[in-house]
Amino acid sequence: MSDDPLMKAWQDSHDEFLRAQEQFWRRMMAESPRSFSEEETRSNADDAWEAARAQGQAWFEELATGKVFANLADEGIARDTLQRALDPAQFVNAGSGEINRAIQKLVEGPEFADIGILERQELKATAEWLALRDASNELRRVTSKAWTRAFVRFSEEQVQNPEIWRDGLRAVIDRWLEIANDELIAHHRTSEFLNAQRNLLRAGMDYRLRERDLVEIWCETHSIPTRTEIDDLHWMVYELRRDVRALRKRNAEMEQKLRAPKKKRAAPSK
Amino acid sequence: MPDQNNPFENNPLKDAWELSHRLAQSAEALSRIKESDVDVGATPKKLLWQQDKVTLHHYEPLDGVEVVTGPVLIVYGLIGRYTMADLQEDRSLVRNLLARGVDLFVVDWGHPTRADQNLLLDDYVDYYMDDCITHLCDVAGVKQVSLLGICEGGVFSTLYAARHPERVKNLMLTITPIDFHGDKADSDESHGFINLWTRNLEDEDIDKMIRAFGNLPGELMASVFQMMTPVRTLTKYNLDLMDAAKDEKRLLNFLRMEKWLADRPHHPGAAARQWLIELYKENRLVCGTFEISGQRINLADLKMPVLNVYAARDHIIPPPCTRALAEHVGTDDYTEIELPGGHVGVYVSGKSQGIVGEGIFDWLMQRL
Repeated sequence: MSDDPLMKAWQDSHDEFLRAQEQFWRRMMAESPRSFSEEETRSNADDAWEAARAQGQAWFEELATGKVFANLADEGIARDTLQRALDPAQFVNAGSGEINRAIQKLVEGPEFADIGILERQELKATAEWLALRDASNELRRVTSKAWTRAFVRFSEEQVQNPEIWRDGLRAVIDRWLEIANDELIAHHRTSEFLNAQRNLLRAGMDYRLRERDLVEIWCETHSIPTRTEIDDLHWMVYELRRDVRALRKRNAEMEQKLRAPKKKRAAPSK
Repeated sequence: MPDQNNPFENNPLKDAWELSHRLAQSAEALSRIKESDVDVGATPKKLLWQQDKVTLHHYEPLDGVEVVTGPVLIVYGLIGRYTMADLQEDRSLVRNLLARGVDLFVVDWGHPTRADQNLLLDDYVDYYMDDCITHLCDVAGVKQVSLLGICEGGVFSTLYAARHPERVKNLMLTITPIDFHGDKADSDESHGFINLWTRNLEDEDIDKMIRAFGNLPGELMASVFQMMTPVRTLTKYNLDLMDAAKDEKRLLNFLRMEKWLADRPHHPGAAARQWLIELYKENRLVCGTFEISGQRINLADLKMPVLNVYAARDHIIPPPCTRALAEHVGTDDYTEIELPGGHVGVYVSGKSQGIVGEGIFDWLMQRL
């Protein structure tokens, strides 16, 4: 093992992580392989996700605030990648959560610390906010069906082929991922999933536009230019630039014509 | 008998320990890498022309390599950036072509902001591209250029070549959608999710999205791409990262791809509306009803030699979407090259690199 304090801190936290998981793994060994019902699987899966999320979050916070990141550059792709590697949301959100998360992030934007607090509070009581929450939950519910089907298929396969555990955890993980991939891809093409996702996008946009309405009222009250006014300006500039470019092009063509050697006029026939 | 006092005795615990150890090694490897090590699009090039956010560059010929072709302009789209063609030194289509003596230029659309929300595909094709080509022709002392379009940039190139055929010597397209409903003819369930996803949206949803953000946010497109490979998304920052971290070169390549993926510009709103509604949903290009600057685009106006490169396992642009071009071009000099991998593999797979570089060069040399 490395003498590097970074590595030691990391390894210690991993050992601690594993010790904390010992009961879980022993139970897995005792219970595997056996088949789970769909309801049982959904409940187990929820518990497992919650536990993993809590554990991962605690782990991440400990490492992120400790010495582990000290050797990394303050910013850059290597640091971003390591943060993603430690982010339990990478697992929790896989399947549908990426777009869910992207929409939430885009919609919510930065929370201003000192302006618009009242407006933001007001927003979170609007029908658009509630619709956004509902659409987000519905997408999670619809996506969980694919995960549940994958868990059931995986547990049934274990019953039929318990030998897979002898090949090591990586083989088990690979097989699990293969099944999950098939189920998720098939699920993404169903109209139930596509509609749930479209509804989330729609709700996200409605919320965003409602937010803009409220913020614009606030801006107008405080004599600050609104988004709509700036968009109007962008439109005017765009139109003007198109005109300027078209004129420049026409001028260039005319100049070219003027520069071109003039053809000699044919002598008038006598 | 397993030793009950040793938590690492049974297989899952031992494997889990090994996994965590490898994750620690990955973290250590990451901590050694500086941002400047992760260089993408690093092949030297010279700025020739700039307008608004658009730039035209000329790649410097490689030492000791004689230029043997006329000018070739690489045209990437607005979804992602041109650096894909020059991701790393040993897997760079740009270097591959330069090494063979191709005179290479590239147009970069930059990073559109909300101020660019009103730009149409018409502006990109009839203004920016046309100005680039005018400038390039002046610099190179020629009247025509060969276009090498990539993905959405392939559509730009197609539109330009149909509008201004007199200025295009050869049209080379790679992984370019032409029939946006072609995915229906692809039986592979993992192909064509973007086509399906877009068709499931109402026009009003797209309008509202563009009204809300001004542009089509790069983050949104990135998340749709990630959904196409759900497990890859799940394993990328653990299993894949740990595999990559085994050697520094692989790790750097992993990070270069991450850097490219993170560099996803917003797509100007008005152009995104045309892209999603008029092309993806209404499939106007092959129907002959798509218009640029008020003029219908007729693919039969493509009378110059056409090379169409597609990837057999392209899940983003399924092969039937690309290959449909054959039925519509107005030339008998039409060639296809099939590559074995997927969409991005055309540019980063070692196997595809040789085929695509050599294929394009050989085809071009026969049409000087």
